[in-house]
Amino acid sequence: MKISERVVLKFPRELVDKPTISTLVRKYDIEFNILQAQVLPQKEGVMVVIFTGEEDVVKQALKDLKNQNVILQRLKQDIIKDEKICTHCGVCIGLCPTNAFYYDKETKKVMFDYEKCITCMLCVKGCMVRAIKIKF
Amino acid sequence: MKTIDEINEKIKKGQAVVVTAEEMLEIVRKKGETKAAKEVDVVTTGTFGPMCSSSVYLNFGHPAPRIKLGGGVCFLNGVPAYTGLAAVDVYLGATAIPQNDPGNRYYPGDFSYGGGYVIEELVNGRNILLEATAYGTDCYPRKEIKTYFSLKDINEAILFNPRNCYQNYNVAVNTSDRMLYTYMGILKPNLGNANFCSAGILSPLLRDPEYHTIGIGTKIFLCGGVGYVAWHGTQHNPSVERTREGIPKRPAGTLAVIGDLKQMHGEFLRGASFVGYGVTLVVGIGIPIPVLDEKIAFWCGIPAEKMFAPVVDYSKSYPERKPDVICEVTYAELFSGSIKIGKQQIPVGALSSFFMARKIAGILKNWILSGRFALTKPVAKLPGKESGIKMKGLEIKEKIQ
Repeated sequence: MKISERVVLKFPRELVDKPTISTLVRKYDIEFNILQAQVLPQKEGVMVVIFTGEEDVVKQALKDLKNQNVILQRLKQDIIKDEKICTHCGVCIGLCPTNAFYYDKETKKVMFDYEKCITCMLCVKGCMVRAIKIKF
Repeated sequence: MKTIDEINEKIKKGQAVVVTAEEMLEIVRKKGETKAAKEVDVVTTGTFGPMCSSSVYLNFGHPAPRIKLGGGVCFLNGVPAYTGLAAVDVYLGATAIPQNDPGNRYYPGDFSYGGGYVIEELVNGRNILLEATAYGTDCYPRKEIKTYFSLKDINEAILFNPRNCYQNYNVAVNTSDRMLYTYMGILKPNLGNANFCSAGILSPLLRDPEYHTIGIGTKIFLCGGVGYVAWHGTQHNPSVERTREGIPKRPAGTLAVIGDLKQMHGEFLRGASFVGYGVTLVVGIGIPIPVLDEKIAFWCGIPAEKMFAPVVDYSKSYPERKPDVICEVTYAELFSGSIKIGKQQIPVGALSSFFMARKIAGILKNWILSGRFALTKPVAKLPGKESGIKMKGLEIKEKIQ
C-alpha cells in the first residue's frame, strides 16, 4: 500500500553538508517533497519532507535515516491549533498558501486540515490571539 | 408602526418576536419587508473584532497612608497607565505596551503583551501588579506603591471605547513586493491576500445604516455584560458615499461604548497582537434593533450582495493617506473566500469572527426573549448624513500665522 509520511528531520552538524536525501531516494524507490529546509546558527539542519512510496519501503528508508543519526519527528504531532484560544476569525484562511484552513459551512468555525499543511508558519505569525503553535 | 414602549411591553409579557439579523434576512427575503415589519419586533446584531480604540478606567480605592497617582507614574503588569486624573484613578489603553518592549526595533516586532492583555486578565479575575510613584503632598504623603489587586478588590473598572463598531471598513491589500505587517494583519506581496474586518450582514450599523434606532443611550451587549452607547464614536463619518438603499460604501459611522468591566466575560473580550503592528483588544458587541417600521425591515433585508467595501492598498495609499480605492467588492464576495482584482483571484481572510458575531446575536436574542433585557429609547440621535460631519485629516503646520 502506498503511503505519504510527513516528517521533520533534524540533521546533526556533521551531516549538514552531505547529500543525505538524494542518496536516500537513489537507494529506495520513494518520492520526496521538501516543504521547508534551513540550516540553523549552530549548523544543524531542519527539514520538513513528505516521503511517498510503498509502506514498507518508506519505513525502511526512515529507519536508514535514523541509523545515520538524523532525528525524526512526525509532523502531525507538532502542529497545534488550540481550540480554547481560537476565536474563528479566519485571518489564517487568507494567509495559508495550501488552503489548510477553511470555514465549516454550517458552524462558521475555522477548521484545520493537517494533511494540507506545509508548515510555512505564516498562520503562526498571523494569528492575533496566538492560537496556532508549531513546535519542532 | 410600533413604538419601543409597545415592544418592551411585549418583551415583559414574553410575547415579543425576536430574531437575529441572519434570520431576519431570510424572513424579509421570503415575506417582504411589510410582512416582516409586522411580524418581527426586534432584530439582534453582533460583531467581534479587534478594536484598538478600547480602554478601561479604574479606581483602586485609597491605601493608608494615601497616595496621589495624579501627576505620577503608574504601571499595571509593567504596562504604563495614564495618571493625569485624580488620586487613585488611572486610565489604561488597549494598545499600550511595556516600557521595555523592543517595539519594531527587531522588525517585525512580536508585541506579545500590552494593555489589551491586562484588560483581559482583569476580566478573568487574575491578580495584576500595580507599581506607581508619586511626588507626595501633605494630603497624599505616600510616594511609592507596589501591590497586587484583582477586579473584585477595586471600586470601579469601566470599559470605555471611544471608537468601536465601525460601519463598514476597508479591505486591505498589498501591491508592493514585500510583506507588510499592519493592523489589518499580515499582507502578502503582489496582492497575495486580502483582509477585511466586518461582521457583514450581522454588523450593527450596517443593519441600521441611517441611525434610526441606534443612538446615544442605546443599551447593548458589551463583552458579555450590559453596556451603553455613550456618544458617536471618534472619526464618525456619516457623509460618505452610500448605495441607493442608504448603505455606506466606505468606513462611515462609529460608536463610543461604555460598560462595567465587572459584568464582562473573558470569552467576549480578548487581548490580541498583530506582528509588526502592536497590541489591541478584540471586543464583542451586540445591539438590538427595534423593528419600528417597514424602513428598518427593509434595511435588515438587504443582502450581502448589495453591501460594498472598498479595497485599499496598504503599501501606499493607506500609509500616505491618499483617498485612492483600487475597487469595490461586495460582502458576498468577501464571505465567499476570494475576491477578484483585475484578473487576479485573491484569497480573503477576516479579522472579525462571524462565528462569534453570530453567537453574540444569539445570546442577545435569548436575553430579550427571556425578559431580562428591555430596549431603550436613545436620548439623542447620532449625527447622520444630514449633519455634514466629515472626518478631518491633520495638516502639518510648521509655523502659525
